[in-house]
Amino acid sequence: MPRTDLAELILLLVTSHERAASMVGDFLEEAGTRGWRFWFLVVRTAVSQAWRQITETPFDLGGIAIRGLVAELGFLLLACIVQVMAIWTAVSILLVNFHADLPDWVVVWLGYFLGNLLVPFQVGRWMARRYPGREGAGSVTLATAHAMIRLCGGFILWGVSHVTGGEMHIDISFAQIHVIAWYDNIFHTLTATVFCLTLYPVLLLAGAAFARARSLHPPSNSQS
Amino acid sequence: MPGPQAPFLGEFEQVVLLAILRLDDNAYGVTIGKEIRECTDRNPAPGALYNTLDRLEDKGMLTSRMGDASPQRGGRAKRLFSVTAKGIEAVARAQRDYQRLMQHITLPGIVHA
Repeated sequence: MPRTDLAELILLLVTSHERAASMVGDFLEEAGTRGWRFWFLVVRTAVSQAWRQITETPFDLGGIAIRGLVAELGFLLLACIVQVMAIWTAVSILLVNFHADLPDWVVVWLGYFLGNLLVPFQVGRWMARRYPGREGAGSVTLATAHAMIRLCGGFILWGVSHVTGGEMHIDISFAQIHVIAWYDNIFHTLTATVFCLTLYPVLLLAGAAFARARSLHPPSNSQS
Repeated sequence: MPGPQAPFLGEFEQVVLLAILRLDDNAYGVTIGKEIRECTDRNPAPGALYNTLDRLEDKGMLTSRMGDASPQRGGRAKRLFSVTAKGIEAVARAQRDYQRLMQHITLPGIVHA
């Protein structure tokens, strides 16, 4: 993919197609494609546009984040069905003996791939289709909401377990895919929160960019 | 005379609207930024400039149309801006307010008309 198309794709996550294309044209005219200045302009403008959306329409983006959480739950349940079908196919049709033919980590990693990598990617694609031009800010809001929920859930369980003196966790899983996984373990809570603020938004944005990449082409002359 | 319903403008919004008015038919991101740099000695952040342009367009003070594409711009069209009557009214109101505030005040380097 040419550098200019990549730059346009980044801006497409935070604004409309015509605006993104004209901004890239402006940056090319001002800085050329080589050197750090072009990318500085692209990244700074993208961050600024996303921040503007978050500060000017916080309730809209909150709504997008809530709908994103619901969509994610749907995709997680779909992933569970896929995982169960895969296991059923392997055992019943391919006659695979898991413990003898396949090590246990295969199922664990398949679950991790589906639940933690593919589902956020799909949520990002869903968001790009539903909220074009706002999926960048929407992804950041969703990731922040996710992190807050994880953090609050984990600390509440930790607090309750300390008061009651017992162990507490809420873990709803199907075939190694965790739909909800809150533990009273602070390390686990912090690790999950860090995931929500690092890899998770990257996967959301990657999914959104994947969905938007198809619409990349110079816009025709028209009123915006 | 601007009516009482003319909207208030931020300082940078006024700067952007005035730069577009000065540029007439050639107002797009690059030229607007250049005009602001030349007239005010300030270097507008690209994000702030495009955010302000979008905000002013959302408020109905600017309109934009897609202009020519050129190889220098990677085949991408310019987004040309022009100020609407509402935008002109808002700038006029802001300038009038400034002038009223400036009456009976003497600042170094400022000569009153």
